[in-house]
Amino acid sequence: MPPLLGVEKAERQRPRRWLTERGDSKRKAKRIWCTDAHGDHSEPRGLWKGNEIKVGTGGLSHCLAQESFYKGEDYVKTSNQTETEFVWHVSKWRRDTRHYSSVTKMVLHPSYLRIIGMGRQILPLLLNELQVRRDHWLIALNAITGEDPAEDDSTFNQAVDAWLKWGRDRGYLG
Amino acid sequence: MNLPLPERDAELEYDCPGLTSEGYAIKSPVDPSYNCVAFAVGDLTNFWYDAKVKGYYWPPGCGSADTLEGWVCVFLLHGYGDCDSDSLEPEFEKIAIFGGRSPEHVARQKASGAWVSKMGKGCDIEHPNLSSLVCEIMGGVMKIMKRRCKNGRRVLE
Repeated sequence: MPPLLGVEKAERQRPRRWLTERGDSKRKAKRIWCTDAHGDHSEPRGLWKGNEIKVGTGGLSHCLAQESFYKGEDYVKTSNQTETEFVWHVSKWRRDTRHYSSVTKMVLHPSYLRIIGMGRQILPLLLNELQVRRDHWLIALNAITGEDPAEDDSTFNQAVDAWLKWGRDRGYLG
Repeated sequence: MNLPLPERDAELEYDCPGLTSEGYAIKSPVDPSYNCVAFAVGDLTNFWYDAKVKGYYWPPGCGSADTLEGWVCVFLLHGYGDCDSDSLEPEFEKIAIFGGRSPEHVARQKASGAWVSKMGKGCDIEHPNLSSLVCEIMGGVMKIMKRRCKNGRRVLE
């Protein structure tokens, strides 16, 4: 099952069709992004409110199934949820970009951008992924950390080695 | 220990359906450390792209790797010039650049007339013709270039 891609507060411009039966538009609510069967980014699918999800038009059953991920008014991801989301995006990106030669196209893939957007919390997972399966995470690592530890004129594999050493030196990798 | 290469790659056939009907042979393991441009010029250690982080190589002065002009510049530097046919000419080595709005792939012709390609981050393959690679990801043939063999010998085979 694909994970939700994200949730954010949506106190403004809430589509009328998503209002709860109580119709209290002033209550805090959150928009929910889901994925469709092909893993593509979708339009906001519904609202999460209290302990219930209101699914908008085109709502998908797997949105509802993800309800247990969200507790309370504030959206707080568990580490397990972060890992689930990370693994799903890595898998999606690797499959979709496997035959690309264009680095630009690789890094503009929505899943790559999402992983960058997950920020520094993702570094242990990302560096471990790089260690297990060398792939084009150099730009993501640079974007997240602002660093570029490889030597000038490094080959791809030398740059990967430099990032793995960087990760070990900082305790991100065991 | 080198594992035997698989005979087929389902993901490759999904992305490039023409390979299924025309046939192809896998010639290397999957390796993300070099790409089709590197492979076409005989470099299996660098990923040729003008990314703005370390770990990539692109010839200085060749312009953007997202443009046909940038790719043509690379092959001009390696002695290739314009060509209008993909047919085998024994005294020439040929490359074919694929793409749509921007270049996506380059294949190199062997002395036999067959073509070889590094498929993005995937494996090297040999394929009988250029049409078998025409697909959504690779696009179509944008440009063919050739260079004369040196002393009657091909630089790459």
